[in-house]
Amino acid sequence: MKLTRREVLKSAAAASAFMALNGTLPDLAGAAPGEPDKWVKAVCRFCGTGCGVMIGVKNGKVVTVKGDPNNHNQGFICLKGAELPSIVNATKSRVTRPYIRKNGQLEPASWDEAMDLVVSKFKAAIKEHGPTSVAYYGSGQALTEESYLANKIWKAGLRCNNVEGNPRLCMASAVGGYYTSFGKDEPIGCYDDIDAATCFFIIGANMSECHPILFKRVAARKQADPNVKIIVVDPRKTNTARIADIHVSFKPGTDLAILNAMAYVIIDEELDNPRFYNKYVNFMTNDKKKVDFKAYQKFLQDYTPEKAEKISGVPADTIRKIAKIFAESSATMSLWTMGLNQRIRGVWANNLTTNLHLLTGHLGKPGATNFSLTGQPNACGGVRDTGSLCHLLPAGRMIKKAKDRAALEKQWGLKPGTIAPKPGLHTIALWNAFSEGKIKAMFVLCTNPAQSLPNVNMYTEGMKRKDNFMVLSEPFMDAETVKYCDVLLPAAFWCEKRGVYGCTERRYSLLMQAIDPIGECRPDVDILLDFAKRMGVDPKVIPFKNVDDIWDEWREVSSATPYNFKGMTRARQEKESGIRWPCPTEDHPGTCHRYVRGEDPNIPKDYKNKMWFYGTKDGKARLWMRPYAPAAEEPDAKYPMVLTTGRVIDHWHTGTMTMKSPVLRRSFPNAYVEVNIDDAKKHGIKNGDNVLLETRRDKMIFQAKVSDVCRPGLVFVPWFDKNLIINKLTLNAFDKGSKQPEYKICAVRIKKA
Amino acid sequence: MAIMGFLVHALPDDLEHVERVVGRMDGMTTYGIHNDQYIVVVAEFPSDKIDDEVNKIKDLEGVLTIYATYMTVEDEMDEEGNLETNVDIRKILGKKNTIDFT
Ligand code: SF4
Repeated sequence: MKLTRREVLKSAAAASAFMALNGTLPDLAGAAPGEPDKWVKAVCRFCGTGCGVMIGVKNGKVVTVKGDPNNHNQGFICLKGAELPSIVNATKSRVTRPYIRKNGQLEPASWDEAMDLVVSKFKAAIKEHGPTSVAYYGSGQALTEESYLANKIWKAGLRCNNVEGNPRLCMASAVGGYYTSFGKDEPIGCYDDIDAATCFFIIGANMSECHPILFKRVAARKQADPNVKIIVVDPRKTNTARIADIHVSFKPGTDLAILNAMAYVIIDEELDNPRFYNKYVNFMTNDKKKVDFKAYQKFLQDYTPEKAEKISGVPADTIRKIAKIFAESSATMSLWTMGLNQRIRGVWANNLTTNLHLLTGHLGKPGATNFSLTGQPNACGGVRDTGSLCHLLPAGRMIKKAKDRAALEKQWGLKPGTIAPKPGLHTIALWNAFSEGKIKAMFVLCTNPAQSLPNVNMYTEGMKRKDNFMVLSEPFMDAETVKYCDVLLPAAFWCEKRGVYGCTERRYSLLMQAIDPIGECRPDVDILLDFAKRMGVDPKVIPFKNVDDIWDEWREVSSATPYNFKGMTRARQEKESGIRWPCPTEDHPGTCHRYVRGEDPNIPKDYKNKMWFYGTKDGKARLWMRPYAPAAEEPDAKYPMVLTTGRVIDHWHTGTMTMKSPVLRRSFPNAYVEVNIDDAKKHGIKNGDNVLLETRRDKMIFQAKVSDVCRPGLVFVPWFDKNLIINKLTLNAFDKGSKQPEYKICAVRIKKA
Repeated sequence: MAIMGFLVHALPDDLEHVERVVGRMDGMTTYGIHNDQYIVVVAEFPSDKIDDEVNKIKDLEGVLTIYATYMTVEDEMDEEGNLETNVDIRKILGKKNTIDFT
């Protein structure tokens, strides 16, 4: 029987669902894969889950996307991932040639004209004001090779440490948390732990909307074993909270008190694990003094469940209950993201969550781990691991450590002392300096700061100045930052180029090029190399012919560090669907659990203990005594409510990509304000009414969604909508340690408009 | 027409009912109940309608969520490979092919 083309496509669609379910193709006529001209392996362009996808190409166009059955997502993707063909094919919204702003207007230019102008501005700034007057602002969506290259050009080529990127806005507190607790960044465990955990402690994360495919894995675990417990700690009753055994709603910003009170209960109920912490943990005061367990117990006296109830509004009995479930389970996995990170005490909140694992020994066993979820597809692999932030160097090295600088200079073949010893400006300081005209030239790549920075009016005003210069490499013409840049460069998008994404679980997957860049677009690696050459950067710093050369150098650099992924050759990456580092040799399978003898290749097989936290001097993890501290801007008489922001399931980040899909656009056409039913009654607001939101920074009108999702006193606005930029209202106060801003909490007042 | 392959995740007691309802919906083809929790479905709609139709399933009693596995828009492309829904850049750039500085 001959099938029509439609029937073949339908069979292929059904077959992909069966593949995801069982890993086998059903007996469907015509279901054999290979309907497009070719299938190309890649990773979804959106969230930090990092689902593997297969891209179907026909006549040089992307026609199909399906989940990669061999990657961790086992063939599943969410609707955003499924909509990638519409987004790749939104060619009419693309920047397809360079532009230069003249008399306030962006006007078409040639590549040479644009690059000559960029280079003349950067050269003039460096000549007049020194290398610290220029900067690079990159992205957790850029490919690893792009971030590695930009970092090297700036830090080694231009001797400028002003290298930052949007991961500062989303993951810096997690970096600070891992670094202070274990001496090295990045999670200990991996996604496989989800399949083995018997308790999930989800705090400050709305996985069902922000990491849907991981949420599916959590839900499947619960389905397979109804005894598995899910605790969700979140001031909003999200869909994630709706599948929980216990949802703990609390006064925003008081989770530090709850976490300390849980530790109090665990010790009080004798559910702690002295065998673990006596061997592997140092107890540390907030001012970095090593103390004993007794001192920790004394510190916790301020956090009895009753005292924490007064601070957080969570009944003492609930705190007792969740602490017991956490400790008594055979394997507890914590999962968190922006709810803990985007806070002025983000690092502390990370530490306090980790403390619970160090106290109970829920670490380093299948299902027992403290796991920070990432927001962007390559914040981990691209920016954190390559050290593309102002205080870092590649593979966990620090700029301020002379030994680290010297080791990297040697690997890079640089003269000793080439890398400047002073860290650069962190994101908020950098944009403050740009707005004040102190940073003269800024290279922005693959990100949209005119919408994503907090208290953004301040920074867009700065972008309008005539005495500073911003070049933007961006695929889409309607990205908000396009309005403000002085030169616009047409960047190749996603599968128009080749390189690596590294997702939340230390998994590096290769995205292979599926189609040619459209118009005059170029991959960012080519753009950066062109920039460096025109800037006169020493050719020894950029000995790269193509993107694969950069990967090979980065692999080599990693090999002298515990990140070691030398075994991830390109040939191997082309064959496999992602490998987790460390992976020192070509025959190494990659690592599930770090710091565990027998799993982590950095630990000798005959090491005396089961675990070794080799990131710290004495090989022990640190349990920190972090006190409760309020938010930077607590509600008061004038602004009596709390505003929080976040994502919705069908949009990603600033909506530049997802709004191109008619499906996703229709699903959430505009931002809105979520108001609790009681608050709505108090203010006479009905579902769909216009509501005026006002903070100390700006005011704006949103349509109301009245529900029980937000607790009373809290309102939520998603941040994807460029026509209603909620970051005009948010606060740019930041964590002193991680320098990450407190997007999640600011004071607001509302009234019916 | 866009074609999407997906799994409907439903509560065990509602699975059979959900499968029957989805099977009767225009543009939806079901491929049975699997692993006691999923129904395999293929939807065929113009790409600007497909989400509305899939959302109707999300709203059915007993449906927990939907997971996509496959999406093709092959049938919806014109000869140049453009989708009908592709936004024309001239609408963004204006007649002068430039952008206003705000
Ligand atoms: S869960 Fe995240 S990575 Fe996976 S398909 Fe959805 S958006 Fe893409």
